[in-house]
Amino acid sequence: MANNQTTVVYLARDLNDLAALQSSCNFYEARNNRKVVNIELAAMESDDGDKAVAVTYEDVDPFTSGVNLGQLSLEAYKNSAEANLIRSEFLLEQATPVLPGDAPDPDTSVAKAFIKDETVKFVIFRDKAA
Amino acid sequence: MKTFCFILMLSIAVFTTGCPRTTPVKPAVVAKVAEYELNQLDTNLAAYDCAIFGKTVEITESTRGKGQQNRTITCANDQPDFDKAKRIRDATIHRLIRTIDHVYFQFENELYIKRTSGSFLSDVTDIGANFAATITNGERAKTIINAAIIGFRGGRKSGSIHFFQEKTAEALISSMQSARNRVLADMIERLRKEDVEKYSLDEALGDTIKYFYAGTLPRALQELQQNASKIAADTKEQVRVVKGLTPEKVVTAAQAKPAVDALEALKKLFNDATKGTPDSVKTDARAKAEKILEQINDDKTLVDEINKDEKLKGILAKLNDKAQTDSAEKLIRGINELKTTASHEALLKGPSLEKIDKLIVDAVQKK
Repeated sequence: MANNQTTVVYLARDLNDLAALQSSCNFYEARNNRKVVNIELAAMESDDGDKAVAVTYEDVDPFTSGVNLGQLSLEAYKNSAEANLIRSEFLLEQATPVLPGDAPDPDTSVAKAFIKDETVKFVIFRDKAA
Repeated sequence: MKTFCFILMLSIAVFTTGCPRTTPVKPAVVAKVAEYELNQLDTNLAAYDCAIFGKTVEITESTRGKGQQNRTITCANDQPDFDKAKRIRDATIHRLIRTIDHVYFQFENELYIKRTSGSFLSDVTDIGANFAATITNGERAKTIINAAIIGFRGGRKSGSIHFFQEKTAEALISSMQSARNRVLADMIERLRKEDVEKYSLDEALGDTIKYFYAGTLPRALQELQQNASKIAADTKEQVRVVKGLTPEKVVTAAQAKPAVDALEALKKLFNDATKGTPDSVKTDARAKAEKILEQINDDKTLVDEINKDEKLKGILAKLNDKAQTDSAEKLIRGINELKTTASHEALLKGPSLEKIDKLIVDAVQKK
């Protein structure tokens, strides 16, 4: 992991829904001037191996980078057709892809997260600056 | 009995698939809105050419699909007018998009109905034939019906594979829509940002053709195939084992809002202070940044907490030193540094950070 990157974890049991992960990521980005570059399924190394979501952030300059921090949109999908449609709707709204962090790709920009006991697949884009 | 079964099957099929309306009654105005006649397009193209060339010109029409045919346009203006050309280009393309949308949505509706009612009819036929085979006396008749069922299922399967590659109507429609959205997103972006020298009407017309074909079945199937494998590769079920990290607090949208608003407010101040804005806006931005600092200094509890940490104390001291914050940019960056440093290293408690967020938002929103 690069020096300017930080990984934080959110426990799956604390996440009631995907919106909770979205607002938590937005909060972290805005407070810390860091952008999301990776989201992974995770498990805590503990006796009960709690399910979690590991999010890696990278430092950015909020004033000159052009990254609209705190404006992430996460939308769940069930199959590839639905994912395609969601992505194309984001593109139509001039939102930008977020993943993979080193080269965001509008054809993917998807991740998975443990939300409570379920694995949720979702598309992640960053809303256009107002 | 066989006649009864046949009539029953037919009735079910007709009453469940034939009668219901699939769209609301179309208002006449919808047809009018979608109407864009060839002669209107020709008029727009001629006006565009006048705006681009600005004088009497002879144009070979072959590029616009009419075969080799020369045409002379006499223009009222004698100077090129690219702003006017852009307006004509945008209007022409938006009218074409409207027309294509109208045709597409009719096609989408028909596709959905045909695909779902076709499947339903096939199911009814399949079940009915099975039922007939069960109740029919005589081995020969049973054999014939069973052979017919096998043939019917084979034909149905083959049709589904060859024409639709076994995709549901929903998958096909959403794929067409996503392909269309992609082309449209590119077009709108270019129409918005680029002038006619970079994105000519002819190029835009080419894109409207792409837009039309994006809403077709072959494109839908291609879209599905292209992305399914990519997504599968990108969302492998790998679980990372995490050690030595304390779980981060999960927040609601309402709890996240003040922090997000504060960052937006600081960005606005920064842009006002540094971008090509009038001097009065720059002065106002500087005054608002000073107000934020003044209010932080006025809050004794907050200052006490900041001063407990040497790093934060140093940042606040630098902010209060006018020699080091001689520009609005430095002042705004300093306030942001105070906030992010406190958050990165958990040097301030949540309520204190929220207080700073609120001070920023209030100061920026104040007229």
